[in-house]
Amino acid sequence: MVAYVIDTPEPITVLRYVLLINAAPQSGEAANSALRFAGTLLEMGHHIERLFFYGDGVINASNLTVMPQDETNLPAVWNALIEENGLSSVVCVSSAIRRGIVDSAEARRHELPASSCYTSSEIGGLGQLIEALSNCDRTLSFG
Amino acid sequence: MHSLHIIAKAPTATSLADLLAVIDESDVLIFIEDGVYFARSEFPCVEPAASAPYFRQYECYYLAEDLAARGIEAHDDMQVVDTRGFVALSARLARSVSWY
Repeated sequence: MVAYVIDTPEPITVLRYVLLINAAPQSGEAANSALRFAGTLLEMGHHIERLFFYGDGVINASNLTVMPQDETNLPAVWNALIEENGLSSVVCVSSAIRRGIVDSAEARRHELPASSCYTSSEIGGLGQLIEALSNCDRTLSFG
Repeated sequence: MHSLHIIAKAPTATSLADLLAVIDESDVLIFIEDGVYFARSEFPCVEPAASAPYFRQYECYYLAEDLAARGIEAHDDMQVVDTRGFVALSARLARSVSWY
């Protein structure tokens, strides 16, 4: 018999999470797993200290992705989750610029014709990951 | 020391050996994404994980959504959790290790 063995009683102890997302929305399921985990965390009353998108994971912040109608546009759903919950979301700058993920400031600096990063995320550095790690109770990576 | 191992890839001889080399008896394992294939006995390198000698001494869970996506039926001695259960496990254990 299959049982849902973990029955979380409410209220819970609120924990601060950092989620590190290393995978692009188009490759495998990891970005989707991370998104589902993040949404469920918030539903259960936990706090997301920071989302940090690294490596191919930075594509999740692209505002230029277009999906077929019967598929989920993960970057758009991330953007909605971040905006609706006022989350701190940071995209690693060195991962981002080499993949064409730039905000308007980076676009100007590198003389690019357009920006491609949702404004709900900020382009930042590993220092912001380290800072968040020192202020959180739990860290999970998805890759 | 009391870590949650999040296994997201299907079993291979090497990943199994790596896993067995570092997990501790007090650790907890959750199989997600292609990791739920650990439940299948067809893999030559792994018995059904929950009952296999490899994992018998560990507390193991399988993610319901990812089992369902692959049409894998849980057998009697497997513990299945949904994403809320996954979150609860991550809250219970202070550290996590992601295998992907």
